[in-house]
Amino acid sequence: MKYSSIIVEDLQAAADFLVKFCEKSGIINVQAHFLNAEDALVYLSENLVDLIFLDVEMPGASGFDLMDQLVYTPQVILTTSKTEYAYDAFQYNVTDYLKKPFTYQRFLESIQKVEKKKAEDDSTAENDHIFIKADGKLVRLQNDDILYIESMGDYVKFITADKKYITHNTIKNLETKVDGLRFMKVHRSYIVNLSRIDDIQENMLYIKGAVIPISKAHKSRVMQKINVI
Amino acid sequence: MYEEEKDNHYVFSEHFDRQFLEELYAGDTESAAEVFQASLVQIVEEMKLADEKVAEGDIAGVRKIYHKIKPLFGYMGLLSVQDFVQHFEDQCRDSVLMSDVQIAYDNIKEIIRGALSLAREEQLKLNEYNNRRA
Repeated sequence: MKYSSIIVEDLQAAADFLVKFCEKSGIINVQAHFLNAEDALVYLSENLVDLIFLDVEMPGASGFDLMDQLVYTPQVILTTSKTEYAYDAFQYNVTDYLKKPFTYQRFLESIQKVEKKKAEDDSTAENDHIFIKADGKLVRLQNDDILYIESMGDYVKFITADKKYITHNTIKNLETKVDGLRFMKVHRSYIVNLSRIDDIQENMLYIKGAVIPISKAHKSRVMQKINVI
Repeated sequence: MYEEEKDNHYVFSEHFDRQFLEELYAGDTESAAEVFQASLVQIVEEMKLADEKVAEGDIAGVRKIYHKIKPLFGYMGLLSVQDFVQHFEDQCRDSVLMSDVQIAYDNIKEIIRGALSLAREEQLKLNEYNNRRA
């Protein structure tokens, strides 16, 4: 798996090292580098990342201030030249704490912790919600509230009982991201919430009045998934 | 054969933490030269700013600048200098008046002057080595 990440670091040399180490690892994709927490927060309000390499002391807001304002919880590796933040780091449940400067070997140990934590989170997560980028912000949608997801080319439409959200994504990508126990692709253009299906007739299913086609390729899997007595 | 070269492999001078630098750069002497160059420039610039903060009596500002440049000594394999800077940073944190840390400030500047001199020398050696290999 590739992890998307950003670097928040006011020391250019330290950021350059991190970028090189990430490239060398082959599994960390650095999307952006910010010299301060404020700019990073603007980016994070519209973009999801798996991991943040975060300096603590920077001009303006600190790394801890940034974590206080995050609306979701990516993994964080603190990168600092001071050891006295270790207690705070523990309180914030960061994945690791790298003291600058650090070697590639030490960096790899951190990445192993990221992978381990990801595996633990995946096995214990409630997975009751997702965040989507819509209307210039990250919007939290409870799985229960999503009726179905419809393809619109390079965009998809999330339909809830109250509202429709359009976001830049694809059905193919979402198929692997949404909760597989609850959601299912029934057609190349549709993913549906199985618990919200009202009825099924032939090759069509109905959710709150909407008619959704079931493709031949997906029909047998759909029938296996639903409880037919 | 230059003294700093063994079996065509660059060897950092004895003043530097050789083992750490070898782990950090893994033979990439081009990167090492770039980092030395950039660090030297930045440290000199930041120290000038620190002098201004000292003149203003802004002890927190001085501490922040030294906190920022501290890891740069680490990237140049001068880990003991990094520790000295940390100690100075702690003194700034625990003091109220600039006069309380004036002697420590003069001392750390003297230590850094020596460190920069060694780092400049090393950077020249790195450049020579890289030029010979080019």
